[in-house]
Order: sequence, then structure tokens, then C-alpha cells
Amino acid sequence: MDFTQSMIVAASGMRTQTDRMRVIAENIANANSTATTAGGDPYRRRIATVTSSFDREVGATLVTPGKPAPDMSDFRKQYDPGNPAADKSGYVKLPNVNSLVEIMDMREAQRSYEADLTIMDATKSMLSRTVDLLRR
Amino acid sequence: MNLPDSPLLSMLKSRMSWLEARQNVLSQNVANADTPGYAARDLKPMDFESLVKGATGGAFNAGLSTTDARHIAISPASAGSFDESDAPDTEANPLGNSVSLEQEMIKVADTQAQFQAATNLYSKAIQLMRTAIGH
Repeated sequence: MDFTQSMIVAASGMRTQTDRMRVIAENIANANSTATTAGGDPYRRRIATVTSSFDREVGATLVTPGKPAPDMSDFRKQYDPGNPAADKSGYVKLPNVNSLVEIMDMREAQRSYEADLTIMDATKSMLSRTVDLLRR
Repeated sequence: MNLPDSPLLSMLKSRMSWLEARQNVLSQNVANADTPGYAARDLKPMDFESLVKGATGGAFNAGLSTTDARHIAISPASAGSFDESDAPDTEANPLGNSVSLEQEMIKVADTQAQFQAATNLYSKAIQLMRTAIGH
């Protein structure tokens, strides 16, 4: 039935946004994770990816979370000779996580999630109206 | 006369299945609101004239014709799949996605209201028939 199909599609969107939220949470949590060895690389920011594919079983274009891709931009550097992760010249590499960017991403994920939820609600009310026709 | 095949009810039936199909397309748009390269889609609007012709068995009836007693008639409403076309809400963003969540929300609210109208009309039509048979 088409209504269940709509709900499956909306659910796939919600699942993807949840996955995206997880990647963002990882980034924010690791915003200060430095290397354990001197001069080593710290946590590298990951970017959630989204792909859409036609699901033959459902008969609709579902959206699935892709493999998170590493952000290859440069690490931040800070002069801190006392830090165990500092290299020979006293610089510590810090993760390339910008909390402002992460917060914006999080807002976007939240907005998309809410939109999917609205679709779910609307579809459910349409479905229950159809079922209500049986009552009269 | 077969009750569900009466012109009014079958028109409402096809209207409801069109709205159902549209809801499906809109949910795909919203789910793919962050997918790179996804273009927003929508159904072609329902054509009243062809609907009337389909419901009254006119020239454009797309259902199967039955020439033998063992054939099963398929009404246009159940046989029809609706035409989808690209309907970008906005210009594509840098990711190539042309879905605007606000536009989609408006469309969903519209679909919902139209569906409500159709179901109300459906139950009104049944009520009318009840009145006619004195029930």
C-alpha cells in the first residue's frame, strides 16, 4: 500500500539523519583528542555522507547513510611544548574540527529529521481517515 | 449498478489514489533533502476532464475492456499509474539538490487537506445513498 510506502521512505530519511547526528556527535566529542605519541596525528574530522538508491522491494527511492568520509583539511597547530603529543619544535596538532560547523550541521540534520516526522504524521492521519470510512 | 463503480465514488477513489501517490513522491523528496544531486519531483496535476471521461466510460477510458464473461475488468483508477516529473522547488544548491523543505511542507499540508476533503465527500456520498434507500 502506498501509505506504508511513504512511511517507509520517511523512516529511511529519519534513520539517515540519526546516523548523521552520530557522526557529528563523534566529531564534537573528539574536538580536543590529540595523538598519543609525540608529533602524531590527532583525531581527523569525519563527514557524514548520504546516498539515495531505488529500493525495488519498496518501489521508492530510499535514502541510506553512506560510509563517513574523512575530512582531509589541515590540522590546527598550537604551540604547547609541555604536551606529550608535541613534536620536536613544540607544536601540538589539534583535530580539524570546527565546533561552529558541527553545530550548523547538527541544526540541518535536526531540521531534516523534523520534516520527515511531519511527513510521517501527515501520512498517518491520511491513513486513519481512510480507515475511518469503514466506520460509517 | 455496482456501488463502488458509481461515477462519483470512482472519481473520489481515483482522486484519493492520486493524493496517496503524491504523498509518496513528496516523502521521497523530503527523505532525500540532503542527498547530493537529487532533483525534487512531483506528480502531474490531475486532469478533471479525463477523470470525468474515465469515470463515465468515455472515449479516454484507460481501463481494460471485457469481451468475454471470464475477463476481469480493471477500472482506470486501479490501472493508472500517475505521471511523475521533475519539479525543482528552488535552484539546485552547490550539492546539486533542488529540494526546499518549506515548499515540500506546503505541498504535504495541501495533499493532506485535499485528502480530507475527498474522504469527507466519500462518506457524504454514502450517506446520500443511505438516505435514498430510506435507512
